[in-house]
This record gives sequence, structure tokens and C-alpha cells, in this order.
Amino acid sequence: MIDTLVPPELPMPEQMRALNQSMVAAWHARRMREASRGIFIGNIAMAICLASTELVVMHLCSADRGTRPGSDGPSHSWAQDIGPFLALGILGVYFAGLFFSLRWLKRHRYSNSVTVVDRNEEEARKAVTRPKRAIAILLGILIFLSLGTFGWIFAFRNMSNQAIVISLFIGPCMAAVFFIFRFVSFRFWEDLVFAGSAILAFVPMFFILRYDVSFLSFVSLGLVVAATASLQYRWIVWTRSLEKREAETDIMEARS
Amino acid sequence: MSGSDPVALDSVIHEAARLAIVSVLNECGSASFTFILGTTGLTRGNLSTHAAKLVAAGYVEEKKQIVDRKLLTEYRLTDVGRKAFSRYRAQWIRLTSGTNKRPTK
Repeated sequence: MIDTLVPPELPMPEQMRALNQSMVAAWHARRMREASRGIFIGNIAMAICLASTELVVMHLCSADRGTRPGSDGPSHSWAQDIGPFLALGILGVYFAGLFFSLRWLKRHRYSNSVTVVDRNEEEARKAVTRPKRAIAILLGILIFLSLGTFGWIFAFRNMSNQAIVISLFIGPCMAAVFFIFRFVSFRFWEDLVFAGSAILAFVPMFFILRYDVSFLSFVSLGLVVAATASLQYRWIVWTRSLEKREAETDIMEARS
Repeated sequence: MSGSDPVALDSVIHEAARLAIVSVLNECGSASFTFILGTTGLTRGNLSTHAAKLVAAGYVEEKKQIVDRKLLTEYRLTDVGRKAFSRYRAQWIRLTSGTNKRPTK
């Protein structure tokens, strides 16, 4: 049997340099892995902002109906006219965007020679081949969501309007914390935009009866689209530069 | 071979190029040859040679497939490789922090 262990010694400077280089390579790999699935992360951020935007649009409709003549509250008559269509339209555009963006990502990965797959993604792929586990996970999620929904319905009946709005705000806050954690881990400014957008989309809910700042929710959707495009573009630029370098190496080898 | 020696470093991983490859693969489920090339900055020949050594040691799994009329080589760290790497890192930390002691359980 070959002895694969070397005796203990104090690390040499070149060994420390090698360790440092490996850490830099790992850091670079971690960042590029995240950039490669920018569209996926962007769609998560979009879903969070969309939920808040839908909430804002639906509340604008009901808030306008409740505004009495002569009150100093803002008029949301536009929301009463087009609100439901707008809510449905945004939802439709989101699902269409989700479908086309994921399809593009799949095709891009298939046609690209530079590929990287996250460990969670690989585990998810394995789970598909084990249907019992996949069904158990889906059932678990369904039970959790059902219990959560019933719990919130029961709680909302006994809560004031302010308490309901604040409790709904927990969702965007948790999302913001998640994206800030991602920013700290991977140092992509796009994650800060996602975090800000998650909060921004919900802000109009706090001012719905006083000021009409519903445009902030729509601004947040635009910001998420821009940040997603920027994150994915990082990956595209990097892979193109690699492919170009590879092609140049091929030419050099052919010449020599 | 004293596998339980807390400060003996695994020579398969200890080499600079292989350490970089394993560090990159530890961050991913699987990665293509070009991805590792781009992140580690190694040359093609270097990467092929060292990846082959890692495959021979059973630390890395190699998968070759033809995609779009091009050969795509993918690598992933095996469970053995992942354990070896985490052990290697723990040994390094002990070595550099100057506590060359056997851990007490």
C-alpha cells in the first residue's frame, strides 16, 4: 500500500502560498457558481417583490372604495378601474418570464462548455430519481403551507390592521436578511439591490391610506430585473473570456 | 500508514495544483474542465495530469460526454474526497495554529 501521508512539518512559505492560492480559487469558484445561476436567484427575488406588489394593488382597490368624499386620503380611482387586471397581468408576465428565463438558462448551460452545478442542485437532481423522497419533501412543504395558511387566517381574525401589515412585513424582512447574507458571502452588489427591492415593494402598504406611493412596488420589480440581468451578465462575460482564451490556446498549439 | 495521525498531511491533496482543484470542486456539486481551468488558473496539461491523479486516488469522479459535438469533461468530488479534504483542512488549521495535539474526544 502506498503511504499517502507526509510527516508533520512546519508549513513552508510556498506551501502557505499554495494554500492561499487554493483559497482564492475556491472563492472565485463560489462567486462564479452563484453568478451562473443568477436568473434562478433573480426569479426568487422577483417572486417576493411580486407578492408584495400584488398585495399593494389589491389593497389599493379596496382602499379607494373605503375613501369617503371630503377625506384627505389619496384617490386610487385608477386602481379601482384597472387594479384587478393589473394584478393578473403582472402575475401572467411573471410566469411567462419565469418559463422563458429558465428555458434560456437550460439551453445556455447545455450549449456552454463551462458548466458548474451547485451541490444542492445535484442533490435535487438525485431526489428526482428517488420519487419516494421527492414526494415526502413535497408533502412536507404542502402540510407546512396549509398549517401556516390556517394559522394566519385564524390570527388575522384577532389582529388589528396595523398588526396584520407588520406581520406580513416579516416575509420581505426575512428575504432581505437572506439577500444581505448572500451579499456578505459572495460580495455581489446585485444581492443588495434584491434586498432593497424586497423591502421597497412592501413599503407602499404602510402609506396606503395617506400617500399614493404604489409606484415604488413597480420600481422594485424593474430593479430586480436589472440586477438579475447584471448578475447573469457577469457569468456570460467570464465564460466568453474563457472560451476566447481556450480558442487562442488551440491556435497557438496548432501553430507550434 | 497512520490515518488517524492529526498532523500528517495527505500528500495527494497537499500538492499545490491538486489542492486548488479539490478546493474548487469542494465548492460545487460538479464542474467542467474549463470551469476549473478558469478558476484555478492552471494550464490544460497541468490540470489533466493532476485531475488524473485525483481520479486514481478515488477523490474525484470524472465523467466524459459529447455535447453539441464537443467533448465535455465534468468532475465532481467523491464522498471520500470530500472527507479527505475536510480532514486535510482541519490538519492544516492545527498545524498553523501550533496545536500539534491529538484531539481529545
